[in-house]
Amino acid sequence: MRRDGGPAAACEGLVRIYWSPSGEVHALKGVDVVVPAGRLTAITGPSGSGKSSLLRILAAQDRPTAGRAEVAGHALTGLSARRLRALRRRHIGYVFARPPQNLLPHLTGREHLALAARFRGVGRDEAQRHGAELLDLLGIADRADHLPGQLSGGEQQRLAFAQALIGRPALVVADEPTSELDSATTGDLLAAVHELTRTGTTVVMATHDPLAAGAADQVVHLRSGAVAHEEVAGRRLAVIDGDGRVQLPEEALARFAARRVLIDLTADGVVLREPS
Amino acid sequence: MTTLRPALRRLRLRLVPVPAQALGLALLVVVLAATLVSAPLMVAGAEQGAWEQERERLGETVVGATLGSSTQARRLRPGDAPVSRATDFADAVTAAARQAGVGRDGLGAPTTFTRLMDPMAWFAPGGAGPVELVSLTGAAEHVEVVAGAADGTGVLVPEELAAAAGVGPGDGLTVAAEGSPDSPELRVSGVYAAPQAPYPGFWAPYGYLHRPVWNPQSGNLEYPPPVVIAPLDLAVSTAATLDRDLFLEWFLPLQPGLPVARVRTAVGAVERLQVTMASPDSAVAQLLDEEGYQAPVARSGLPTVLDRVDTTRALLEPPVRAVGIGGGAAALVLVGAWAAHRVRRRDDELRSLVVRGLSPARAALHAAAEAALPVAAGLAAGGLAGWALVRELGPSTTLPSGALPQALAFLAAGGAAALAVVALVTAGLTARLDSIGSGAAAHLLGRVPWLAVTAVVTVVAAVPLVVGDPADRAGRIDVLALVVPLLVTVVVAGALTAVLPRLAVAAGGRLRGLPVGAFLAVRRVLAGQGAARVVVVTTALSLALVVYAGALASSTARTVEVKAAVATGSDVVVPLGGQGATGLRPPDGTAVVGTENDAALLPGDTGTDVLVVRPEEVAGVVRWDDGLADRPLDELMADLAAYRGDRVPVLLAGPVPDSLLEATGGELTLDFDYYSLPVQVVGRTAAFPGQGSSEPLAVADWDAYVAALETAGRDPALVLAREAWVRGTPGAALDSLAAAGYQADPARAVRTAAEFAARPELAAQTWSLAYLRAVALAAGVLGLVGLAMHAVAQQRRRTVAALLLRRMGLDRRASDAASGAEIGLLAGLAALVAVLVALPASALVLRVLDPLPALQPGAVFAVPRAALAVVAGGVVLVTAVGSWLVGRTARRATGGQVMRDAT
Repeated sequence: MRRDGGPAAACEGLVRIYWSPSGEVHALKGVDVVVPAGRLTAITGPSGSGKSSLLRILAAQDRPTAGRAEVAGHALTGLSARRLRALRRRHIGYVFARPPQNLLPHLTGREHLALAARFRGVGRDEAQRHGAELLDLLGIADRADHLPGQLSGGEQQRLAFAQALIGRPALVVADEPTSELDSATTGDLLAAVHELTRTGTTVVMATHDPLAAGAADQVVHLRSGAVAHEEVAGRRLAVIDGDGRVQLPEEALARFAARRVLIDLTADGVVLREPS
Repeated sequence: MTTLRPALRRLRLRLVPVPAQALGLALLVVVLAATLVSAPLMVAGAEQGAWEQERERLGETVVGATLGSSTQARRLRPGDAPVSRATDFADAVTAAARQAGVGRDGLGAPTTFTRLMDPMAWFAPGGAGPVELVSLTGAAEHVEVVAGAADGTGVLVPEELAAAAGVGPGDGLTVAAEGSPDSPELRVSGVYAAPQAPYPGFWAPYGYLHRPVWNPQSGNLEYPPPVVIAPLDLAVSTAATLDRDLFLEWFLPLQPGLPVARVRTAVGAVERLQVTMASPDSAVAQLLDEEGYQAPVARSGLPTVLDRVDTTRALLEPPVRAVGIGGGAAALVLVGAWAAHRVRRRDDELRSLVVRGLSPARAALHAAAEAALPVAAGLAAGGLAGWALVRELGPSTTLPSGALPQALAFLAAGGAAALAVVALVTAGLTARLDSIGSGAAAHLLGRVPWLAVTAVVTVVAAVPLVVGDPADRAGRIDVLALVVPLLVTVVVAGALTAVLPRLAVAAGGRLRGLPVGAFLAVRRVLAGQGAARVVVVTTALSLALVVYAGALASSTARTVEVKAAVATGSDVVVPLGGQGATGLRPPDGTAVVGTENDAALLPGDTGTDVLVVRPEEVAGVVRWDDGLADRPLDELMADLAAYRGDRVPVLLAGPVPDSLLEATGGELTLDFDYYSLPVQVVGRTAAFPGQGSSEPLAVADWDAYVAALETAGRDPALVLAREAWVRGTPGAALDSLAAAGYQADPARAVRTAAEFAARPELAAQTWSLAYLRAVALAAGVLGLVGLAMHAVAQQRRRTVAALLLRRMGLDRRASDAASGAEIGLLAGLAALVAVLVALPASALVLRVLDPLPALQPGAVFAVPRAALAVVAGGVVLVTAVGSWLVGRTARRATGGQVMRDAT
């Protein structure tokens, strides 16, 4: 976690364009997101909305085509592949959607944590101590010497979180971590993740699961490569970018069939009205 | 124990985390190591094999060293009797050999042989006769003594002499020489049975002492004088008493079973012996000076033999090295494929590490560490296998130790290369995992039409093979000859697999009428993309190599056999003296033929040789190949004998234009400048036994030809050079001819088919192709194993689909049948491409691989039945084993686990 009080990650005007044989694909079209430290942030949106692209950039696996992305205090733009890997190694944990993707079939839970700690450059004693804490916190201490094949799906994902968290990275990025879990197990896992955020851990996860989104401190909803809205403390917020662009919620957009509005500035806000 | 087990587990996880994968790599490295090690060992083995072949063919006398001299003085002073010091002379030469250390360098101690230069006679009350007095070290031990025993003071006489002179052990045999007043008496210590032909090893060099010769004046066989074997001292003293000089000969045999490297030192030892004897301080030099003896002159066939051995090695080394390196490179490609497969199989694991910051270099290091143990095990097993295979199946069972360091260096390089390939492939694929999308370079490469590019490269590379002159290449197997057929296979297999999806579209709904298993198999094969196409191409490539190598090897073997039969007529060709023409009957299995060269065939003035045969003798003597003519030999000979016209009937062999025969109706003239003979062509052959050059050969009927010669006023005995064609060995041939009254022409050497086949060009090519065949076989096995592994991998990918199909009602038998049919179709497709490409390609390449293009006929193609059987067997085997493996994989996947792992 960041101890300077700043956000764990921040993106501004983020653009990501892919080149394919059929032409350019604009996956992100100027996304502004702030991931506050010590919180659980969920990124939601339909398929193709840019969730995975944003997640990859937040996980320092990719660089933006344009715009600014800062993760754990490091601007990604201009970072070499080597520096990007170093950033991932030291400051970012990652959890895949499918449990088998996160774990090596021939290592026990404890060995997974030891290997992850070695990657992060954590000393053996510290790794053991922190590993034990995480296993306790996630409720799988008694399963630490089992192989992944001997664990349930929920236990495997908890172990994946423990592995991502060892060494206290600034940010843990999870890609739909509950997609393969039943609702009870999802609830358990989310509770455990909440416990983690209370200890100062920052978690950002992409999800389609309303349960997971509901458990988040902040929800960023993407649509067509841009932020449609954010939800913080149960309130839905539209996002205005640096150029003054704002995306309306679907139901608000439906009111303006002509795609033209009148804007009235009032004392307590801004009113959009259909031109008569 | 409690701390040891986790430590061992950690070690195992670090070195062999996935044992099945490690085993696969180890097997590939076994092939890599065996291929790399076998190349230098094969070259060394061929060198040794060529030497052993030459030693066996030429015999000990030729490969040993012989020193010859005599006691006949170069200058004679009054009162000199140089022969009396012959024993000292013999001892001095023996001592010089010891001093020169010839034994250290592979030569045995010299045996001394002496023989009186002039004839000697024996006298007894019952008669008299000529006798040969010889002394030969060890002779007494190599004869069967039938009465008495050998001792140091008496002589051994043959049974015939003992009977004629009426002497036995303890008696005296009186001998005398013309012009000598003395008649010394030799004490007989024993009686021996004279050795009979064929003479055993010890007597082989001295066979002339016992072999009868034909006397043309008397018309009878003349037996040489009986051989009296005496100790050296007694032979010398007898010669001195009779005032006769002695021939002296020292034979230094080559020690048996010597490796070729030591044989080379033996040449140096002979030279050292000459130097030692020439030294002014040596006893030999002093005796030469004092007694005026002839200086012993060494002669040995060893340098010539070693030249042939070196030529064989020089011809064999480039192709073997090319095949070895090519095989090693192919094995390394497979190691690379293994590394890629490892990454794919452990994609999840690698991705999870990459997102945590695993660098390509570190991934490569991990992969290399995991590969280290399998590579080491593979190197050890492959090295041993390569050594054992070359030793057991190669040219010689003795592999010179000098080849070992080079083989070990190849092994180490192969191991390092395998680890490097694993590391590089892993690093590359990890870097790809670490990047999003594909770069501009990858896009560009993806747009290249690789099949078309390969086709163009193939056409360009094939041009020299198609238009090349066989004479320019002299049978060399170079990279081009190896690569072009493989490129053609890649293009054909690639094109075929590219067409398959279109066939699927064309077949449309018609396939739905097939049973479920067959339908699934055909659809899977027709829809094969990516990996399936690569598998078909690589399997076709490996099987094509098997067929190609088999075709080249069997065709070369047949070519060598046919050329040997054509060049030498029969197993043994013995040139005969002119007297052999008169009224003798050749022994069974022998044909006496006449030859006349440098004729001109008119019209056209084509240089032609003439072979005159008795048609009834030829069959059973010549080694006939059906490819030489479009009719059997019997029919051709019958046509020759049945001709009743006034011309000489001939068979025309070799390159004569058909148009010439059509225009003249086969009525031609053989012109010899001073006379000419009208001939009628009664048959054509591509070549005929006895055709020693590329010029045409006219094979004429003996009686008609002799009659025509006499009509032309020529003496057949003077015009025709005669030779006997005999089946069997040279020794037996000479003996049987001598017994029948024929005498070999001493001015012309006996030729054999074996000697022809042992020519360095032929031996080198035969061994090179045998090596290519062995490497190709390994490639074929790997190709089929790869196909089976691909089938298993496909089954793993289709686990969910297979489970769903089963739940939809597809029974296990139909599922297994579909898998088996799919593997069989893929393997059959690859085999079909391999055979269709490799057979014509080998026929094309064979033309320029003719090792002796100057000799008729050209290279002869032989269908590689064994290779085709191996390919067919391999297809059946891989279908059976692959089906079983796929079925087992399918049965191991439990429904619950499959659905849980499915995305």
